[in-house]
Amino acid sequence: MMQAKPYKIAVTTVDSVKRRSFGWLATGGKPFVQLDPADIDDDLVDSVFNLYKTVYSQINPTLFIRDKYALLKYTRWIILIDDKKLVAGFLLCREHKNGIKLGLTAAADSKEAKKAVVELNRKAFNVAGVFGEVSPPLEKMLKGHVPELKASDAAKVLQPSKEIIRVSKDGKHYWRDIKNIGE
Amino acid sequence: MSIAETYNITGFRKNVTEIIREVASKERSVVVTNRENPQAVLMPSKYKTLAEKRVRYSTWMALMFTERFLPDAPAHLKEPQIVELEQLRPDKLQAFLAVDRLPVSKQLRPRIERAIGKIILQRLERRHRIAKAIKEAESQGLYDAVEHQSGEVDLT
Repeated sequence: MMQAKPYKIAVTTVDSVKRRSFGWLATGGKPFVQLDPADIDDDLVDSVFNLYKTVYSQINPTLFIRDKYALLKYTRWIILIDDKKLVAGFLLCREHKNGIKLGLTAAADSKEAKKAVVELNRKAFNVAGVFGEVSPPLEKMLKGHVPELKASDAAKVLQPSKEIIRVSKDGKHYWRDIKNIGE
Repeated sequence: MSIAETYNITGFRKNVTEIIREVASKERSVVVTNRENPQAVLMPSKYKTLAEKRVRYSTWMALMFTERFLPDAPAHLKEPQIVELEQLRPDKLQAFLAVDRLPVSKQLRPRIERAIGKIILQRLERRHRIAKAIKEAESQGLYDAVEHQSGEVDLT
């Protein structure tokens, strides 16, 4: 069945994250608004891209994603707005053969926004059918709050694209080669 | 990101084996022209099943032009384009045969806008622009890299 409106975008407030459940991230239902790529508001893309640039340039001033439209690889967006209706955080995900894969996340430079984005990630990882890979800094924030997969199963979940995985001795972590980053 | 390649009849004759191999392996259509007028389109065999099902001519044309203009786009960009073009009459869609690149040139734009409508053309160009950005990032392996960075975002 062809999807005329494959993008699903939800805008919610920073304050609402704590009391919300996010099962709809996997089902694609409401409060997601379904959109055709040609109808996605440029102002919204600009706002998300600006926050991406601000946050990710602190990790590396040379941004990997330099074209705002490249963010549209991700087809499910949860956008958090503050009380001034400014974008304060986001979680961008994409549909994967094995479920919904979390892709990019960011929070504006405020305690409330960061707390909400951590909570959002924790809740998202607890939704059945949603998965993702995290590096040590985010892992610390999520540990004990989200289900973990054995590293030896990672290759199966990440297939077909990421087959070369080296499992660490603790059985919980793995290495894989990432272009532009290394192992 | 380019749109589908065009060959004149002489070039097509000379390179027919290579062109067929390319259409099959890259799943991209090519257009054959005679004195710059489009005469035929060679499409990947995956559309054979559609021919067997006798799909509507407008569906065929919608698929063909989507493949032509968004050859490397992900399905979530191609599908809305097919759905949109399917709504147009085949005689209107034929105007696309004259388009050899996106965005459409200034000279050609009025003619295409008259045939298919200004908004539909703008929407095609926007999807093409998005597909180009995604393709470029994918080909450089940037999504894996930026997703890795995502785990390093300061949330403390």
